[in-house]
Amino acid sequence: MSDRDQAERGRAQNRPGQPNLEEIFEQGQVESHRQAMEEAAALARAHYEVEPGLRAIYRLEGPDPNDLRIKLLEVNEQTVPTGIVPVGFPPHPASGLHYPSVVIEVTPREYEAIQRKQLDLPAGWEVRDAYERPAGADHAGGTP
Amino acid sequence: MKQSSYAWSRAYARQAQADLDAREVLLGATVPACQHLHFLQMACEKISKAFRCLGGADPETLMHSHGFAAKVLPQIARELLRRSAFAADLEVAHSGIEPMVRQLAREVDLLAPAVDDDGRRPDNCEYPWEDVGGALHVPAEHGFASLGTLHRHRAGATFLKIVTAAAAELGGGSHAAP
Repeated sequence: MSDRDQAERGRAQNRPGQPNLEEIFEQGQVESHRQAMEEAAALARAHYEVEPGLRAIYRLEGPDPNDLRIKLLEVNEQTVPTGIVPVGFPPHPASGLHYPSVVIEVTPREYEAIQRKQLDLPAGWEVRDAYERPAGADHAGGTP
Repeated sequence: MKQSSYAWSRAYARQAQADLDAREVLLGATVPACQHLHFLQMACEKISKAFRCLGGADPETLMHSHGFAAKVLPQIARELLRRSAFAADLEVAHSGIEPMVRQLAREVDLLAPAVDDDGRRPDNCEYPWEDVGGALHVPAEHGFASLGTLHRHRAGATFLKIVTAAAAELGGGSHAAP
């Protein structure tokens, strides 16, 4: 019997009035994902505000949908060119981060190399949408 | 059994804390600057590796890599700054901390013999080197410019505070050998 069949059978066996554990689990996953996305945006905003050299911040997505780590690709004209160096941080709930985060900081030239597929992100990671720079946050100018 | 990246990260950070302790001891002794700078360089390298472990790097491969403090330490400084600004309920302010940390961390990276800026910076805190003019230099007789008196400058003191906080972040509190 497949996992899906088992899940369907589990649903059918639910009696009226009993909580559907699968639905509750899925709802929890969706909520966790939403929270992680919000925290990622807040982290990106905070980074824009303290780092004038940042030209762009992109959300990164990995192949595992259950991986809730916040993953950011930051294009920083002041960083040193060292290729792809993911730096991890543990959660810090006191400052609003409930999930671990991973930041990959690259120079504008390295970012171009990523776009041209000449510089590889970790296996399966993809560049997604860009975070907007908050109004008033300094930057050295130009688009990446 | 392979240990987790968290376990490796903590292990690197605790060894960095021990390096920083050794640096403190040497600062109080009559030894050349290269000796305490060597421990500072090793500590910065291990802190960088601790945070790279959390980023998914293979801990054992990391053992043989050098020169990433200038990449990693500014990011750690920024995160520490973000947290303290949040904790104090203050707006996150623009700050010169990150560029300063990047500049000092780059100088610290160059203290390792394996990092020499393509031959432009052979000065290091372990082995003698010959400069472009053919003069031979001994680390124990070299001043290392402002790095040699890092702890006496405001920027240097801030840098050291960040390095210590970064090691404690992942290494925890008590780390001294019994």
